[in-house]
Amino acid sequence: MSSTFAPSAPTASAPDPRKLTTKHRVSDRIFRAVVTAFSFSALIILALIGIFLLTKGLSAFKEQGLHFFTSSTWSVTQDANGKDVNHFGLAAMLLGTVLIAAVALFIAVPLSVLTALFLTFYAPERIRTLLVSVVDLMAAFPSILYGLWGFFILGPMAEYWAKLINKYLGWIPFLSVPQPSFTRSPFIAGIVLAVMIVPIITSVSREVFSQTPLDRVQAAYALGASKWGMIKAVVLPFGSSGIVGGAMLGLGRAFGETVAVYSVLNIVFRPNWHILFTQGGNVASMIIGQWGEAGKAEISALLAAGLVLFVLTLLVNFAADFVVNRAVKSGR
Amino acid sequence: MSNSQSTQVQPIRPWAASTSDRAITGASVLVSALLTYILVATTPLKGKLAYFFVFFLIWFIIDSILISRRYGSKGVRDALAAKVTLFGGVIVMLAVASILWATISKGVKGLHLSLFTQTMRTTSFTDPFSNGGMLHSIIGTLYLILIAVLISVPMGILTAIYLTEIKGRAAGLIRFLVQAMSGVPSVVAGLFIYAAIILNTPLRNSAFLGGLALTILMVPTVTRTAEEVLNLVPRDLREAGLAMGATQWKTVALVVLPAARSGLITATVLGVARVAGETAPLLFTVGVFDAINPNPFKGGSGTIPTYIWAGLTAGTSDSVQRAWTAILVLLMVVLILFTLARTLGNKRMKAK
Amino acid sequence: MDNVNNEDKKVGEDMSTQSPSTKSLGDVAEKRAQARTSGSAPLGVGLEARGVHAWFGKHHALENVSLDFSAGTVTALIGPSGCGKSTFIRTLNRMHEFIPSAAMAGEVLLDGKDIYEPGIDVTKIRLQIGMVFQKPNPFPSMTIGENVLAGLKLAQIKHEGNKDDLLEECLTRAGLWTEVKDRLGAHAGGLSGGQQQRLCIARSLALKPKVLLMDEPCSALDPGSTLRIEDTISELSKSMTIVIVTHNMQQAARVSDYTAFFLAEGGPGQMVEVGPTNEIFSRPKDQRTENYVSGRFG
Repeated sequence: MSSTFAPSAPTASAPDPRKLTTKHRVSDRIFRAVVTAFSFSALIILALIGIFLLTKGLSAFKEQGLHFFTSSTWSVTQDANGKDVNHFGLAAMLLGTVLIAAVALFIAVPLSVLTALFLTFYAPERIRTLLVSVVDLMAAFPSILYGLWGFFILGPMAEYWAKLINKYLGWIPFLSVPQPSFTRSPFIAGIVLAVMIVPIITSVSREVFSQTPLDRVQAAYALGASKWGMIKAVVLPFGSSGIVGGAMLGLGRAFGETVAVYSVLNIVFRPNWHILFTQGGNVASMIIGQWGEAGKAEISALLAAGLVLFVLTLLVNFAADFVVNRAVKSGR
Repeated sequence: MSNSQSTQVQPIRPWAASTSDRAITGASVLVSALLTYILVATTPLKGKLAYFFVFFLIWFIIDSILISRRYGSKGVRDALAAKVTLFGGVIVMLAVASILWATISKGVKGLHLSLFTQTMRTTSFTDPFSNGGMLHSIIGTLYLILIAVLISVPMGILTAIYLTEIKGRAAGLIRFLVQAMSGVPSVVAGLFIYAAIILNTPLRNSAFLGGLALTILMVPTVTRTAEEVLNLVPRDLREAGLAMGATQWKTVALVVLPAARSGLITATVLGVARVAGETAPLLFTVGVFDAINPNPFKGGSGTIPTYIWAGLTAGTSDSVQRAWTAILVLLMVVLILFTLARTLGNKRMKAK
Repeated sequence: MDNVNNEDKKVGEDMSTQSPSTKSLGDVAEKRAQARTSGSAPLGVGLEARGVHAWFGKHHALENVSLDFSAGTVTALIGPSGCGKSTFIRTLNRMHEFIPSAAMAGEVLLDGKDIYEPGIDVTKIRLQIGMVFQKPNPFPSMTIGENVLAGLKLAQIKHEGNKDDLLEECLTRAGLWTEVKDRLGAHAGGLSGGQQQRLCIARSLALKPKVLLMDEPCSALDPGSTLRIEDTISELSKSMTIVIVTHNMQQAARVSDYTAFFLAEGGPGQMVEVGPTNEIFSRPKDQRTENYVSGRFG
């Protein structure tokens, strides 16, 4: 029998691909089910956090209504009949959270980008690994260490700097002070936070910089660019979204920092724009400040404040993710 | 035709800094330092700030004069950029050095042997710091870590397995959620345990609850590192197992996980380092306690971070001294954990 | 090698599997050599390499290469992979030193002056010796117009005269003007591979280099773009010196006046033979050269 293989005739259209399935063995089905279930734990935990904080904090929300967000008064008192009169307003603390985070970013982002540039492009090989380890180690310092250092070591120095800034730049509204009292201010808290988030932003920036496509770098050099010219033309445009992503991660951390800020801040329930002045607060440190002596109603309010903090940091993290993912997609 | 004789030609690097270049740089630094000193001594400028800024300014000016001769304004701009980045790096290093120096110099004073053998059961925080010790808080922290590890490591590894082995349709979502979870502030984790458990069940402050709060903070770190590590296991290992007809779970359990073992240990160690120093969540779930409590499920417990917190907030010089010494101990622990994670990680890299 | 015609035919037959035309490499090169001599006196500046060695750490990659690139000529560097051609071309504009473990020896003279002299501003050297790379690398964050003028910005050169005129001149010389003149504000990433490479050529031209180095500029492009770029190279060679590394021997035959053959026989790469292109392909002096150009290896 002669085997005749006719050449495959061209078909009008390619057939649809077949669906490839398998029936997993029982042990594998159990395995996959267990693993999948556990993986959703992240979702479950996040949801539970939201749910419980909401339900336990609900009474505070209901009682205070919108004032929870707009008022700055936080007091637990009783009126003439012995009935509780509570005011829980987060406005001052929210303002403080934003102000301190702004000061922290203002200091930390340039410092981190410069350090990342130095580590990636200027540091000699032998020093580079050492310095990188130091920066990574910095990220592991417990936050209470920053609190201790911030209060005892940085405080006096920063107070002196604040006085200097006030002396020469005090004509700028938010750098003036109602009274010459400079200890434990949002400015100092901002510096402490800045030092805490520098390692995060630096390591994200460093990773992005080290991934700069080599062909663009060489193109710049071949055109006669100096090292700084190359950085300006190639590295910074390429890494800009990575830097922004890193800054937002740092921002999230700055929003949620408690003990470090508590140690160097004088928490007062009054909105304060004068960052050099010894008055301020942020939501996280306020919570632990008030917790010790809080009665049932106040605890509910503090839990509600915790929910606000939770939502805020989630939003910042989502935004950071979005920025970084968009950068990755556009192939920059 | 070129010669192909073996040459005695020596490799050189004409672009590298020559000795004369280095000498000039060294000289300019010294001259700048001298000028800085003179300037600061004779003008109203004072303080570390003055020294720092004036030095960099003078050094930049001297350097620019030397450079502009040969390289023009472009060279000066390049040199300025180099100095500014150095400036930034130096500031960061100074901050780290300051923190380390403060911890060591202040903490060492309070080190005494009974620190590790006694508790605060009979001592008050404001008593002279050579009395009492932190044994209870060390034991408490160990309980916390144990509980956190027992829960978060399996959780983290299983989640990582889902992401790398099963790669289901929800993988993107789960990765996103893990990332979101890593951004949860530590205080929120503590509040959550309080709201969910203390307010709803008869359970009260205990090391167990503290461990649960730390778990929430630890799971994202473990998951992310474990995912990276599992992805590094070469595909052919898995394919070898599956090609022999093994089920997926057998392949994962007997082939993939052992291959990634040291990396998974690194993931655990990194997670522990992350949560060992957290204070805020413990304030809501464990409280401060002065004696050893052998039962992690009932009753308060001492922990290192709360010990430090109590020392700091008591406010006297003795109590603050306790805090410094305790943070020195904590820092040493974190440092050891970190170096451990690093060496394990490097060994893994080298072995590959 | 007595009967030149027979030798040519043999070369042609051996190459028949590779080249679609029946012309031999020698014929192609001969044609070009005749076209060149009928032109006007070449401009540009001479580049000379004397005893150039290159190391990567302890690995001796390139040994004792001496080549003279006369003003206004096109020289092709050919040879199998790994023979050191790319390393060599990068010593010519001091790009070799970017590799951390790199070291070299010897001299490279531009217009009689050694570019490796201590105390020289290397960025100025690169303004006079331009380079086009294998993979087109326009700056994606800039528009087409900005890309062409990027070199001026990076080198902080003030251009006396109209920037738009310079833009048009460079793009015309690179053979891209008619295709992009209406969309100079568009992003460079939207161009095809061949167009991007011509954009990179225009970008290098804006600095008015005296020498242009091209490291396999067409190997990532389709044949149509390749031929267009080869036309560009022929035009450019009337006003500058060009050195081109190429894997494609037909390209070398089409485009160059001189060809240098590199080879690494288990040791450092060396330059085996250099000569006028038509001679290298039809009457090579070294047996190894003949083996390579007749397709016996590589």
